[in-house]
Amino acid sequence: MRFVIDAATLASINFLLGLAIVTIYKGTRIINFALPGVMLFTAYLTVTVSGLMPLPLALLLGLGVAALLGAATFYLGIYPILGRPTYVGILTTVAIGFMLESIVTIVWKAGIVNLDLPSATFSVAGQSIRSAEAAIWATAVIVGAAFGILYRYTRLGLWLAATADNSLLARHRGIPVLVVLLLSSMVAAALAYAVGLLLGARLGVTMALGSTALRGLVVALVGGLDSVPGAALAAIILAVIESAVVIHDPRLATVVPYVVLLFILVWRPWGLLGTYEEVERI
Amino acid sequence: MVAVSPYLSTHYRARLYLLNTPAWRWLVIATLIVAALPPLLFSVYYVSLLNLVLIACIGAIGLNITTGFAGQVNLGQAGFLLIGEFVAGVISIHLGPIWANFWIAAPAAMAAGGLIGVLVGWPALRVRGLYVALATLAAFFVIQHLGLRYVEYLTRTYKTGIDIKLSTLDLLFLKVESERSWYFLLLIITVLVIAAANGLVRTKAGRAWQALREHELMTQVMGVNVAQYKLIAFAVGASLAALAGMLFGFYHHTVNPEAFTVEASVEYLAMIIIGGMGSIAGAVLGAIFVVLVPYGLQWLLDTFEAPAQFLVYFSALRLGVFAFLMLIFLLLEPEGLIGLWQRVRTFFVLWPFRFRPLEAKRQ
Repeated sequence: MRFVIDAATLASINFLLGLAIVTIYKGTRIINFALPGVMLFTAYLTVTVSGLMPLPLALLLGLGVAALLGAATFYLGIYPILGRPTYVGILTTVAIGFMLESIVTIVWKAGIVNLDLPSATFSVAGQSIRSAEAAIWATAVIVGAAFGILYRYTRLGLWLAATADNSLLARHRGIPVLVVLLLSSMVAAALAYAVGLLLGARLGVTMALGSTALRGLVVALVGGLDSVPGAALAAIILAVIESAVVIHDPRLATVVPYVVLLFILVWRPWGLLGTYEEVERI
Repeated sequence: MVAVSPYLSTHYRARLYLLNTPAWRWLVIATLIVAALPPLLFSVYYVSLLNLVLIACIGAIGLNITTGFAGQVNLGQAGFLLIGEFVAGVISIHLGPIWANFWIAAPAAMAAGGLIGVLVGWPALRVRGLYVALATLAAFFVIQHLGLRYVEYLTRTYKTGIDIKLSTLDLLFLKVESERSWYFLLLIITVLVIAAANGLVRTKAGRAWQALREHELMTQVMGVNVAQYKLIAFAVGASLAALAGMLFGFYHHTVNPEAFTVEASVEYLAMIIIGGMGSIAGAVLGAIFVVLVPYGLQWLLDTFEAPAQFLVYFSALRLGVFAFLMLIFLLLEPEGLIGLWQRVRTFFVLWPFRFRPLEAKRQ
């Protein structure tokens, strides 16, 4: 039972992180390596300001900063290099991410700080479940459903799909492509922020959040970079494997997702549910 | 006979000379003489800094071949360095302090690096761009994990303690112990690597890599075996990294996987981006810049009496500065320091004109 709870929590986190990567990839064809940095920065910032103002206000401020950082990532790391070779996009976002990480280390001294969210513990079927865990599940389900609806039923979703498919044609049809891309970048950053908060509420905010955020890349790639259901599937599979391994060998468990990723890249590079044509194969 | 100008060759072989003008030859000879001077002029501390620069040069040239020339982003260069260090560890611990171990360690490290490079490059055959970068990152984590396991095994089985002590590098006729002898050994190796790399990028493989970087599909259409040259690029880059890692291990007398993190890989990327992607001289310049700038930074902090936490978290500050410079160079000067230099040179070569005759204004 404990196993199921841990796996479900891990799966939810994986899914949210994967979703952040997928959201931005769908529009720009760029993987945002800056998300770990955004996550660390906003999580630490929120903890600090929550001591100065009421909690809801602090959370809102954190969200605003996350969206700003998302926009900054877009304008500095993604927009100027659209049309240049892919590897430039990887490198600019990597650079932005590490800049943020470095700022966090120096300002917050790489310490562990606790985020004081109201918490409670309740028991279901003899197992105690912390409210932080329940919050993670709820967020994953709500966000997943919201994205499903967004992509399938709304105009914005249609715009996103059109931009992803062929941005030149999309622009011809009058879709504000830049606004769409900027929005998806901000939403991805906000997602990273949410995960940072949820993880911080559960285990405390530490520098290790950064390496957790890298997990999102693995989830997105295993599931298929342009597929939301794929991200969900991959999140569950990876979480189950990892939770099973962590019992035997905790250190091996941190490597397992990457082994799965290497296997997927060789066997099925477009991911479990990704579009086949997505990968320009040689 | 060497032509006076690279544009005025009298026979076809002349176009193949690496040092194709007298000016180049004299420049190289002068550089070599200047490079041989530091151990005679400077104190041991500065020589040790230069040793680190030289080791970084080798790794950066390797990365520039994989990433700068062939366009395959490698986020796991530190992993390949780690492999070199393990070869050093294996040789000096399992074989003991044997005679002339350099001549075993160097080929072994390069072979091991090349082999693992091909293995890591394997997924790159199926995918491109983003996926390659992720594959190298994933491979890096796997290598790092295996590395930590191996160190654990060493400390348990061989009772080496946490600080694994490697034997001294032995060159048949000389034991490399002092900083000065290290400097000369590293200088010779680096010069050889620079010469070899400069030759290599002018071969068929080098041309294939550059074509691959610019347009992969077109390269394949022209009949180039893309898969083969991708693997070669990974193998060459990784074997140079492993060579650098092997030297690093013997230089510090230890095997320490914790020194090779994702951040170390990013520093190597910073070297080639700041120095100049797709240029061997750029990799050298970048290595000099990235290794020496932190010391300048430290001096600045000391002079201006910056808050203590900048010094405590100096490695983070260093990384932040490099990340910032990477971004600036990527956005404003993608050719790197070498590009800046070429621009200055072109300005003086063409003065008082701004453009080459008969050449339309670029852009």
